[in-house]
Amino acid sequence: VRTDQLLDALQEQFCAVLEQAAFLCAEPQAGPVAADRAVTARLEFHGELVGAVAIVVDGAVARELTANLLGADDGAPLAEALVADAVGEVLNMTCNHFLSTVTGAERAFGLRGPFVSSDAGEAARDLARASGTRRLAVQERPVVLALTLGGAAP
Amino acid sequence: LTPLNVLVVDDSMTARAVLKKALGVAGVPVGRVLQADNGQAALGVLETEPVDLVFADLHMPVMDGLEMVLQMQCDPDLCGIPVVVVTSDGSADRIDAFWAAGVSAIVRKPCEPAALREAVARTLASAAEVSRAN
Repeated sequence: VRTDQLLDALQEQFCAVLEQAAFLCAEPQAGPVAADRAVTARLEFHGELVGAVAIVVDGAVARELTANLLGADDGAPLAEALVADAVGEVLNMTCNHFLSTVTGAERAFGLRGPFVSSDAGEAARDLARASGTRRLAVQERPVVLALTLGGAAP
Repeated sequence: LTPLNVLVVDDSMTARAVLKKALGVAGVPVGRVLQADNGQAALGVLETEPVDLVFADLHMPVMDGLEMVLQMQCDPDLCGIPVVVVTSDGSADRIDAFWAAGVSAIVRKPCEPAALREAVARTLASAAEVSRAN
């Protein structure tokens, strides 16, 4: 399976999870848009496929998806730890559905993570080592999906 | 219906909060909602608190959901408490292992309130049947 086909599947599952869990819609984004106070989450998997998925989510989108997941009121204060946890949970659901889709749901995968960070350097490193990325826009703010294939299983 | 005391076991605080909210939306009569962030912590809660129903994730640090269910089955005080697994892992290997361990229902994340309601209804009906048989 080619990397772009895997990225298609990853994007499809991310959009489905985001819509079902957080009532948000992700659209393909043509050019790079700078994320503001981005939250990065990375989840490693090993099994029939070995690699990692990561998402870099603009801070405003991260807070919006957290509020929607929790059914919180608009403008309600959200602790940074809660926002980080919510982004990690969205990635966890996305990754599990992605792996089921691309491998036929028969075999179990081992997972490590999600590792969540608000460090811009961490986001840059995740994107730099990725086999491929997809740039999306959620409410006109940037979200990047990254897929890395290969690496050593723990 | 008598309100159920439930234990929600998930390492994500978001997932625990979402499930608690979904139970309300689904119209499941809930009394106390206890929480634990891994299987071992959940077993500790079950030793001291009366719980009618457990909702558990699969992947958790310290002790995962499957190990927790297996340990519950070995404990005469805990083996009768129904467990609904709430996970985004759809692999047949793991799903089969959970059914073999005796869980009552499996709901895939992100979970719809309707799916949750149906799982709880099936679980309670099954528990009532076992109770009548005994």
